[in-house]
Amino acid sequence: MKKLHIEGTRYSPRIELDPETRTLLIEGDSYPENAVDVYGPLITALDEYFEQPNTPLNIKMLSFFQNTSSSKMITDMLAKLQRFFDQGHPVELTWFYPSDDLEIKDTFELFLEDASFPYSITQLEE
Amino acid sequence: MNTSFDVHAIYQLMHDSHIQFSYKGPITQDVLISLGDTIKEELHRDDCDAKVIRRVFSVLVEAAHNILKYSSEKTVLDKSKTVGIGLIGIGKTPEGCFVVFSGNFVSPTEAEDIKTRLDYINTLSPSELTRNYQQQMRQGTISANGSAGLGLYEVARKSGRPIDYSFTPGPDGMMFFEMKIVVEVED
Repeated sequence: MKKLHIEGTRYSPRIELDPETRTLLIEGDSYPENAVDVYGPLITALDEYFEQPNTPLNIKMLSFFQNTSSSKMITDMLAKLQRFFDQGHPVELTWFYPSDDLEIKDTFELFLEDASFPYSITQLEE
Repeated sequence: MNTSFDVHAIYQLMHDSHIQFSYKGPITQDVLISLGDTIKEELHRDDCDAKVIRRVFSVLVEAAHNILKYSSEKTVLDKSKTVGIGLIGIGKTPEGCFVVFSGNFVSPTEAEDIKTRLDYINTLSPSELTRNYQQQMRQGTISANGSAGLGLYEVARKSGRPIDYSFTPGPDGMMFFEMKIVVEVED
């Protein structure tokens, strides 16, 4: 499949799903009016990405702020990744939080509460 | 334009109510970004914690998106996009906390729905609030307009105290719904 590249905007993150480097990057604040428009294409692309068995994916989240519409789409995305992990695909995730806001760390921990794939919530080195 | 309104009265009202910013009109995404930038910059200059700035902005975004989507007063912008009209702003309490306020007209049915939700949310403890939020997040569905049904939960979570709201009857049977959300500065 081709690389999925979604441009970031003032209110939506840059999204890059690269089948060659086996990486997914989500970078930037997320508060679009309708997060389905932003994350929908990614969630669809993940189905194609994981078509072959045992496809690894390394995810980096560099998004500190989400409105509820985005949080819902991210929750759905994480649930989907969990299902792919359960099917045997090596999925791992790193979510960075800023050093000036530890409340965010709690938020990310909530998102990942049910995840059994390897993940880390890491402070971003400035 | 009618210029016979009293600017001094507006100044006095904003001054006496400790209102820092206020906008009334179509709540577009562009308005939200500009308002957000201005508020964030002001809070930053005020030596506000990054954590508090994000909390305030979170409440602002959810309140703004609710007006955008659910206001009964609407306008159609170029590209035939329909956006809700309302009032949104921030102020300060005498104790130094921030207040995000919003106001817009809604239908009577919508008003009933909002009241039911807010009355329920206002009974929840912080941990119950988080649990309900989590449950809705996982089991709820997102609507075609991007609404996850979580805006008021998020507002309550970021505020840390019951949401102050009221309804006032307006023209054409519509109800004016207003919220005042206090965002704590300390933990």
